[in-house]
Amino acid sequence: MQTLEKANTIINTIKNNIEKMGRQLRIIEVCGTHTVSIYRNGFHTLFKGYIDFISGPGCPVCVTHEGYIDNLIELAKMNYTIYTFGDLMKVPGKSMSLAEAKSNGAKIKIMYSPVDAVENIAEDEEAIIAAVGFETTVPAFALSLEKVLEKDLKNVKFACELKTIDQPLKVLLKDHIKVDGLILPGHVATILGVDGFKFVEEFEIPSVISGFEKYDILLSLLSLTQSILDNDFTVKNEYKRVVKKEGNTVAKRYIERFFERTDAYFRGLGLIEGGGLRLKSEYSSFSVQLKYDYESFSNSACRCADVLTGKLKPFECPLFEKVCTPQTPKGACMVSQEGSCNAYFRFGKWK
Amino acid sequence: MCLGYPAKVIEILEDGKKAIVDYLGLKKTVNVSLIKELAVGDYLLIHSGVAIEKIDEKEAEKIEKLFGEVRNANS
Repeated sequence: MQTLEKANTIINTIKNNIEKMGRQLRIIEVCGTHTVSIYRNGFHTLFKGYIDFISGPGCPVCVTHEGYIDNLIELAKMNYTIYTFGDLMKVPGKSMSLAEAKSNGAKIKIMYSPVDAVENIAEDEEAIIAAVGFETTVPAFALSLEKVLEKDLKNVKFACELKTIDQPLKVLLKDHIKVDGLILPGHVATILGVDGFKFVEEFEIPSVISGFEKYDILLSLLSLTQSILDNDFTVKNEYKRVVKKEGNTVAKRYIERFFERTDAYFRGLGLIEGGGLRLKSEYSSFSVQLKYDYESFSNSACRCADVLTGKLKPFECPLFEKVCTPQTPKGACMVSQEGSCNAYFRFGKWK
Repeated sequence: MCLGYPAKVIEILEDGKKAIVDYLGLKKTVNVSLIKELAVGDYLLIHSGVAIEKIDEKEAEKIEKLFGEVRNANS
């Protein structure tokens, strides 16, 4: 029981720190996996009245535009085989999701790993890999392109909708949201390192890189509340077992070798300068040109955009739980297992 | 999509770009191109079939030691 007492001590210290400030803290967890961990472990109720947790734009599925889905479906109709991660399957496009297109006969295959997918693509298959994700996932796409080059495959292309974390965070902190502290994404930081998040310090908001287990979250909240008390804006690292100061340098070199910055559309934040990655021009023959209208949303009642910018809690959306459920999602925040609407729906006790 | 899981290296395959790892008794082949100085017995963080970093065992043990009993008490 000694360690249980330690946990209680940490919880009490976090609460005491906040009591010293005399107000409820607004803390944003940038990554969807943190959102899930916070709600699954009941931290939103444990710290009720102490911390208001806001879900940020760090779930790649949630910030993907419906137009990207429509483009993939169009390509599938042109007899390409689309390889995608499973969590993109239910995201609604204008008229249907990839899952519905698949049930209508479109050639859409779920991949677990883009590297494995490339190894197993048949010679006579015209394949398009749906490249979606933040820096955590980009190295896997870089490795898969390397394999395409090694094997001299002419039948594999990439539909890039890759995102970077720094630019949207800057936009969010500058224009959209006022928070007391940030829980930074541990797996993006695994690639980028603590150094990759030093830019947060310029905003003079305390932050901590966190792992995803419940004890990781507790230690991160302890660190964060102490930073807030001390007006300490240094990025703290509470995921030291994985995250290094410089990150994974091999992975970063892979990203730099194949990708370059481009503007990217984020659901909720709009078009962000330098917010995405595309294949470098020397690899453009492996890239699919995507075209869609950023402004068009098929379901104007969906409030994903407001949820992703902390303006609205999921249960305040008129569609939440009524017509929008994980079985019948109307927006990407309900589709993804890492989406805040999905986490609220599954783990409840939000009111 | 951004989920990662820890797994132990049980065999490094010949080209050094792949390894067989054990995750809760499940054996999987993963890409280890991004990991420097890999050895059998190392723990890795796996994401999308790719090892994205080694897990520092000493740091992991510190956390486990601190909170291991909490997990048992709550499960």
